[in-house]
Amino acid sequence: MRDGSPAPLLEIRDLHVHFPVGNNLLARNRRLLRAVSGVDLTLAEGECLSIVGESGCGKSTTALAVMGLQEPTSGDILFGGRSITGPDGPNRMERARIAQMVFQDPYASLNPRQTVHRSLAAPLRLHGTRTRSEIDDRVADILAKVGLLPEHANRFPHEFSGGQRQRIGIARALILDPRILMLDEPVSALDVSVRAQIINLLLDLQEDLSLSFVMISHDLGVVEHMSDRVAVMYFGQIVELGPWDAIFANPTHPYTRKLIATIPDPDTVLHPDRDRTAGAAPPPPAGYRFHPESVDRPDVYAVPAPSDLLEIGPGHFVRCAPG
Amino acid sequence: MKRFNLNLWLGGALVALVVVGAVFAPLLTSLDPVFDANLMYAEEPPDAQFWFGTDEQGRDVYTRVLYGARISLTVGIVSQIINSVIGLSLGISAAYWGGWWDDLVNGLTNTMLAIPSLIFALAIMAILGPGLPSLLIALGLTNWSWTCRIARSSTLSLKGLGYVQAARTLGYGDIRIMATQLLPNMIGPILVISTLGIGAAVLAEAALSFLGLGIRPPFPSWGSMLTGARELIVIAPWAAVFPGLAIFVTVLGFNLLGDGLRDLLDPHMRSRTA
Amino acid sequence: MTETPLLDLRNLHVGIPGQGASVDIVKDVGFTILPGEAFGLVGESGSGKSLTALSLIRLLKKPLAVSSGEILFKGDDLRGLSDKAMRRLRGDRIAMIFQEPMTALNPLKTVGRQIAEMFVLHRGMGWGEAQKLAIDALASVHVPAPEERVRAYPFQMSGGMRQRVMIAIALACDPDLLIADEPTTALDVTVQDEVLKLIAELCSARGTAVLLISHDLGVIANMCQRVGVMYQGRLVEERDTYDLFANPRHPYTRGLLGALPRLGSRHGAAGRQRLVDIDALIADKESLSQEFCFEPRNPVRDPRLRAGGGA
Repeated sequence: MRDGSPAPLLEIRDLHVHFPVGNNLLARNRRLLRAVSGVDLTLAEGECLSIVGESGCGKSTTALAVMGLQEPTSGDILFGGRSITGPDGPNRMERARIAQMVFQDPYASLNPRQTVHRSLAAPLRLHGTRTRSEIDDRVADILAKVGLLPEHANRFPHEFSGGQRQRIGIARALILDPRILMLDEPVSALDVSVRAQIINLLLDLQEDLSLSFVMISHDLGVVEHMSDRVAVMYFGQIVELGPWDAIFANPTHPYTRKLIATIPDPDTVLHPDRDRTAGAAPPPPAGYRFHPESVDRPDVYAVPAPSDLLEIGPGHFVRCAPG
Repeated sequence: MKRFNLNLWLGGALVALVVVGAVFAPLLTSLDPVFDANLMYAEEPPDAQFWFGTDEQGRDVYTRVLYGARISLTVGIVSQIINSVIGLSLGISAAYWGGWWDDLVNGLTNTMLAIPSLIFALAIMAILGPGLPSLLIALGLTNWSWTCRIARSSTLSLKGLGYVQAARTLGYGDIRIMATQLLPNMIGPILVISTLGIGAAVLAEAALSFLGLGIRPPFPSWGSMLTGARELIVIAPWAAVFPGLAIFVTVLGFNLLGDGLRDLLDPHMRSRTA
Repeated sequence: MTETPLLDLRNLHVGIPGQGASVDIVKDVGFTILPGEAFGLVGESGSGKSLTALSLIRLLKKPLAVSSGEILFKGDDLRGLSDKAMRRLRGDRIAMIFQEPMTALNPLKTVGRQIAEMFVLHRGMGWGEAQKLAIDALASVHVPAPEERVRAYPFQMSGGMRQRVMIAIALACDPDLLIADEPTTALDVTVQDEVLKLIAELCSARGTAVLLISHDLGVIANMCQRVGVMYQGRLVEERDTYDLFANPRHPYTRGLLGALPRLGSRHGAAGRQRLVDIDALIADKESLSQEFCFEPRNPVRDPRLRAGGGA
């Protein structure tokens, strides 16, 4: 979107997801928890877009809405310019070839009662691959791509380590050749050494298969390492959006600055004097103020105060409200 | 793992004993349970010829207990299969789809739990009339609520897991997800509750037959044998004791087997139900 | 270094009795912690860092047990203590906070009562007096409105607040040593930052020594003066924090630092760099000198390690 390229691969327009709170059937005015309120995002072909934020900020709900696992309250999600939500959108089978998901917990993301081969072959069969040899070739091929051996296919999930399971999860996500991979905290449950292997694998796959990534994460080290663009979410809204270098070198919104300042970074011991968000907070553009002003918990049930994303650099947006 | 699972082995042995008796009944006795009645030998106490004695019509109680096992096991297993199918379909679909369907199934389950299932079965038997088919229907429709509850709670905890969500994004239909992703992963607790359910059905069959609503005499059901033996309890107690013992052994066997399976398959469940 | 150490751990081995030393899960681990010092133990799952901590306070789960070694606390070997004396020491002189604040707190008791229990148990106070001190303890961990919060139950609090309560319980009796096992792993980063600052602030004010166990090199670097790196049950490197991060000596430590996507590492670099693959590094034995006895890691994890809390 920086160079004004044609229609983006994926576009999220004014996405809202609200959950009614309280299960009292008789309650007249049930309160609405505004998990996502007004998110606009685009994903370009071959790009890695990261959505960062803390638990409850709406990043996972946004991901689930894109995957069709959560019905949006309002808003539109377009793939290649065509809406994929609502009754006129594609069915589950068509959607499956658009985007697939890699899950956070490698211990819960594989069916314990199915062999790796079955987990990978069943979607192929469902999508019309009939001959046995074709299926076996495809399974072997995808296992090789994620760094596993053909004989791993006949094993059950409990025979694998966490890192290997995550590889199987990636293989399953790739088996139908989707265009987009939704990475939901793909490495946060893994050990440092395994984490590095999976990150390397994901970056290799992105290059080899020309994939586009949307990554949900709270780990800013991983985000900085992998992303082209970063969206910072805070209580259902995007508060800052921009190219990765702009976000990390020039974080502007108070929440982004706080987030970056609080990551425990091993390098602080070497450079104790270096403040990663050095300098005074930049003043908001003239006539505007940051929204929310402080980083205290806003009310998740209230309609958010009116605010806009202002462009403060090439492709770098920050949320401000008229002051 | 290390501890010897006494429940499993003892329960398994008792159930095996009953199954062997039922399956090989014609080999284990040379008499017929219905037609070999001889009033000459009526109310004989147990001896070398009649191991369990004879009843008021001179029929061999041992033979009748063996053939009775066939009825008890058929009723127990078939009715439990019906219960499992109902409970699993309702429980899994209710938790998976949620909404008004979940509310409806929940209400139905709670209603079923509130009515004593034997009373309910009695009412159904009263409408359908006695006999094996109506017994299977009556007991198969009245004891699915625990299976349903377990299926529902298992589904609730499973449906948020990555592999179930992945199945949806891969294009699986709802029914396929329920059958391939959810059902196989709750088979342990379902097996346990079904085993216990068979024991309960055997007991219910005996009760209904005892009340004259189940298997009608002269066919040898343990319950109907007790009915016949009731008047002889002082003169010929063996006619009541042995069918009663058979019921006891069978129900105990299935209950122990269920407990043993639970310890074997799902050690965490012990604290949940205890 | 003339000061006598608060904790002096020597040649600790943890294993399953009767299985021989070759299958020990913690092998020959030794380090010292000085009074008031913060010592970090860093490592991956199954490296033995949690088991090392649990063996200090005799909370290893069966069948695991300390097979040999000395655990000198203020000069006395803790292995010689009776169970009763050990119980008296735990919570009083050595306190512990765990990763999951929801399961570590009793859900049926108010947080005030759980803090007060420490005073009743270890100080022999009456409940009334102890309850008053519990309010002070809550105030000291910056729980807002402590007079009201003493009557709250754990489920009424957020994860960060519960971890503050855990800290209040742990520090209630002014222990000499606080063992913190992944105290902030379950928390969001901004909350983690607050909790870590709180631990650092309270412990340095009271002169409490800290044994911090974490998989997160960043957390360790920010909190500790000295660090021990554990790998496959062994302590492979133990150094001053600055030296360790500036000039890691052991290849595993170097690998660990290289495997971490660090903030700022991509700036000025052309494109995305590959992270260091430690397993490949270890498989390539020729690059390693003999003195660092590396053993390739066992791909199939022993389930007992998980059960033993070796996370």
